[in-house]
Amino acid sequence: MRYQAPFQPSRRLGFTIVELLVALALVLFIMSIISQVFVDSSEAFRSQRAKAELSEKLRFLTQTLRADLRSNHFEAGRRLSDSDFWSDGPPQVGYFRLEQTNLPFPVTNLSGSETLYTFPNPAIAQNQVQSQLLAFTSFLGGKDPRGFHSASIPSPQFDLLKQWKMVNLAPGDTRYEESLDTYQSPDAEVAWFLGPTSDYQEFLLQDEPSNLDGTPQSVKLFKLYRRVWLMLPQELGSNTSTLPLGAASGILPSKISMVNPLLATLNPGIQLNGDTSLQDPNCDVPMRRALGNFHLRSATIAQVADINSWRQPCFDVRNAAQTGQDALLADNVLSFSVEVCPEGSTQFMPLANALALPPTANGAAVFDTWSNRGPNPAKGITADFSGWNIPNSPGAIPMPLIPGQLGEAPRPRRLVAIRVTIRLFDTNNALSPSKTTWQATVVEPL
Amino acid sequence: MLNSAPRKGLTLLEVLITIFVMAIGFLSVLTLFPLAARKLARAIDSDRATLMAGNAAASATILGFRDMAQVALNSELAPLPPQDPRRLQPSTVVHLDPAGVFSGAGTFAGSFLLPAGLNQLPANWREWVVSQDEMRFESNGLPEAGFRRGERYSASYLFRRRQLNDPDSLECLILVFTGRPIEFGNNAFIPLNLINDPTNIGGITITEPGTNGAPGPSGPDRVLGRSSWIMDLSQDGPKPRWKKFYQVQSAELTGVNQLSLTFDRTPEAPITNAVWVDFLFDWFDRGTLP
Repeated sequence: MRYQAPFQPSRRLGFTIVELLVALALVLFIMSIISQVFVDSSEAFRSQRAKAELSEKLRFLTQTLRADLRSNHFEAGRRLSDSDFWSDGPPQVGYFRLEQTNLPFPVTNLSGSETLYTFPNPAIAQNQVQSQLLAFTSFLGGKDPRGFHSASIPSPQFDLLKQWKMVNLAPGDTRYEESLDTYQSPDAEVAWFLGPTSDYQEFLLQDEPSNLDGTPQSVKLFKLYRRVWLMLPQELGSNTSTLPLGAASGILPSKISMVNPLLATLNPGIQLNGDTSLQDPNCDVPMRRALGNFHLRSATIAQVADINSWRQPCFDVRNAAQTGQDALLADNVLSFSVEVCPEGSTQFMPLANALALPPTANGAAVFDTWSNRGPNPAKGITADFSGWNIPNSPGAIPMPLIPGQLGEAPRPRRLVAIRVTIRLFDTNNALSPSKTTWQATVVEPL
Repeated sequence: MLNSAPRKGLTLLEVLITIFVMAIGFLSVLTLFPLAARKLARAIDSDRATLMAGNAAASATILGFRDMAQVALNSELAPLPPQDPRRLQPSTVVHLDPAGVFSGAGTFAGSFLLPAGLNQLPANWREWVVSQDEMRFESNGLPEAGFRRGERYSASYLFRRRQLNDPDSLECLILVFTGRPIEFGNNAFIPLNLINDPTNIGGITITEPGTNGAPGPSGPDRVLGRSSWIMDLSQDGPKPRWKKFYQVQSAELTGVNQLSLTFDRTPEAPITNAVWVDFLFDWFDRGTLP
């Protein structure tokens, strides 16, 4: 009997080890090329995307800022650059204020400890971080509410305002009511500033060599805010001094605080410039800022006193950005720098240089078309130069005057243009070799 | 009992073909990355150019560039008698290019006027018409030491009056250039030698720049081709057209030194005179703003 093997393999058609090795080598070779291309492409795409994101943020910032600067700040289209701006006295409505301060404020370090941080000298640090405040009235005009200023105001508070006739919106008048809890107005006070310092961030550059003292390198980052205080119609002749104290709980319209400071101690929930009559007899300046003060935030008697004394020394960024009227426009901001071009010049420069102010220790300066509130060293303001000097102002430092033309009286120097530079840092890609910093500059006539 | 059929494996050739096909597929997908990156870069460039145009418009107001243009146009108006019909027609186009003029370039030899008084601009003129944002930064966010602010974007202005005797009808276009060398000047406008070509209805046919006596390119590495901008300066009446820009979609040699250009859109009217606006990134219509 012939043995028959149960399994008789036929001609083998599979791989040999050599074939496998060759195929594997080829696969590895091709995959290495593809992976390298993939890595390079990904890095290029990531870098472009990071730039695109920063560019998109900056586009929004620059467009918003340009619109604010282009709006009317004073009555009848009057502009700071008008050759006769100072000829007939200060503006009757509105104001324009620029602060360049050197205000130390507490920040939390990487170690968790709190120290005082001071912005670099704005007079010399053109490309570095500066503490700036831009504040002005913005009158948009027009009849299309879609282009108006907008702000969120909670319903209960706003209902009370209407009940007290602090705000008079006629039934069916939808010009000012955008949606539930959101209102709009063509007129508003607008402020741009860095802060708050409580959210100050020190970003650690982990892959960078340490400093000479062994501490890790870091970047100081800030947040950029835009404050909008709407101006809404007020019923003429309303007498807020008769309002019941208890009913004021939950709101703090600045007008109320003027009439009865005790009301303001209850809750600083909202801040409105209720009066739009422009000639309020309660105001010692013919503008609405007298009714709403930047310093207003927390409910303390001391600050209420500040409210009624409109001559505030400066805009305190430490207290900013705590109200519902402050919109966070951008975080991871490296700097928000403002330069101005004075009349007779074609160069942008820090405010102190533009106004030909005497040199100060820290280059801080303030320009305001109206107020003259004097210096306040405690807040880093060593010179507050107003455009219009109010007699008997305590501590007032008159703005340097220049000879008037054609025999006119000496007058303050005009500011004809402004240049604002915003610089953003991309923390999402901070560990990448191609870290991204991006800046945008807005130039506008004043 | 095991009686399996003979197993047929893959040959090396089949494996290689598979790998090849897979590689083609991978590479096809990978090409999307640079394409997307290019799109993103273009969007970024558009953002920056728009910002430059906005700042250039502000600079024109602040420094009185419009007034300079008005002076130039007044000089065109002054010698005309009161009844001259040309007073009611559009004015000549004024090209105001502070960066170019200060680099020593002369006026464009075409239909443009050069306003007087440009040499009164201050020494820091470039800050106003050249982007100040194109800088490189260290990893800590500070500008690189010693690095001069970039000059990637620059702007020039075209002015004209819709009606020569009406100063209020002054219109303004802002041209934003990218990568234009500062010494380039007004030579960025390169006259084109047009060839009559009835078959090319979507563009123009020209003598290739730099040949047969045609004006050469604006630089040794400059090539008239896809994405180049052509400005139509054909005469509608006595004055050149206004706001007629076309972007080249394709450029094809159709004869000896003969270049056929196809535009992004069909010209509204036959083009009889045109210039190549080299380095132009985009143009912005600023209307009759004061």
